[in-house]
Amino acid sequence: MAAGDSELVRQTLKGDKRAFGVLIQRHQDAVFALVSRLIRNPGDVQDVAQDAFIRAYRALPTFRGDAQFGTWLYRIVWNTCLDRREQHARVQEREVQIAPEEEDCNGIDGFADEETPLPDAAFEADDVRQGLEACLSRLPVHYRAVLTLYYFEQKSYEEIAMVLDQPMNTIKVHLFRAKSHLKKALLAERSSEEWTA
Amino acid sequence: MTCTDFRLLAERRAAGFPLKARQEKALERHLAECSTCAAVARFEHNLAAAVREFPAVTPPADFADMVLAQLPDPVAVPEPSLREYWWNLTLGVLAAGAASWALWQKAPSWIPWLTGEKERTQIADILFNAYMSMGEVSLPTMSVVFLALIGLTAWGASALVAGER
Ligand SMILES: [Zn+2]
Repeated sequence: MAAGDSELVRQTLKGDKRAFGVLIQRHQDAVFALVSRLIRNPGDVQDVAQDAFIRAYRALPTFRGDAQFGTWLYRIVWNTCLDRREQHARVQEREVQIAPEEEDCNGIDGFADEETPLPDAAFEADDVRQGLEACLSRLPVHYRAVLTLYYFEQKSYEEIAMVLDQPMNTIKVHLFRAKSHLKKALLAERSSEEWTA
Repeated sequence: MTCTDFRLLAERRAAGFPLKARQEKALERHLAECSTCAAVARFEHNLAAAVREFPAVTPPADFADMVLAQLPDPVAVPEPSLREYWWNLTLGVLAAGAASWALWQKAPSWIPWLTGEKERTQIADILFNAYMSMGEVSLPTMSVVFLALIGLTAWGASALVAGER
């Protein structure tokens, strides 16, 4: 049977670098997927992923077996992405700005009532996905992170809160706001198409 | 169950979290009746697909080797060698021996920062009384016990120091 992540961490800490190689192989696809969705320039993705694994190796003595290795690693990946973005601050200018009142974390319990109305036909067509993809890449990085960790990496709200180091309620709000923003953007795109058609 | 509950179920299903058969059935029934929730469910489905299909870079085949080549040398904590333990123990025993001998003499004139004869005598009395109050045993036996205790402390301390590095 293959060794678990915690066992591989123990072996790495005893000086066995090959054990860390197995950890890399096990998690590299997920890490590349996450970084690809957070970093705009595809040419930077490998570099950021590499940097994140090296940071993880250095930080390994601080890894406690009670957390999942994947969750612990994603947190390092997230911080590496943020550092990289700070170095290339100008990319953030292309992201849509979301008004501060939309960031408000109150009233999450009643969020279903203020759901953006969805005309039945609006989400039928196949090209909806392409529209969504374009809107996704313009979302603020925190929202993209929450969407990716939830819909792609299948992390629970609690795990996402651990990765992004934010309260769980903020994660729920970000998930809701991200979707709400995407719906509005899609509807706007659609109505402008109808206008020009 | 309310529409909010069903939308949460639709979200979880779209994200790939498994639903119980009972929840799945109830959700399907509701979506057939409620067009607003049905639209939300379609949106969830498309959103999950868009996030999954978002163009991503894939790692090169030798990615792990590339990272391994760049790693700094062992992050590992080396186990302290047996020789190190014995060396620390010997030092501890010697120190314990010296301390015991000084107490035995009841004249710690080697404490350099105490110049007055009076203080020296007081310190020596305190140490000697503490030493003697450890039990009604003969002085040589007590010395051996004392020596062993200090030796054990030194052993413990050396193991701690080795563990921290
Ligand atoms: Zn409904």
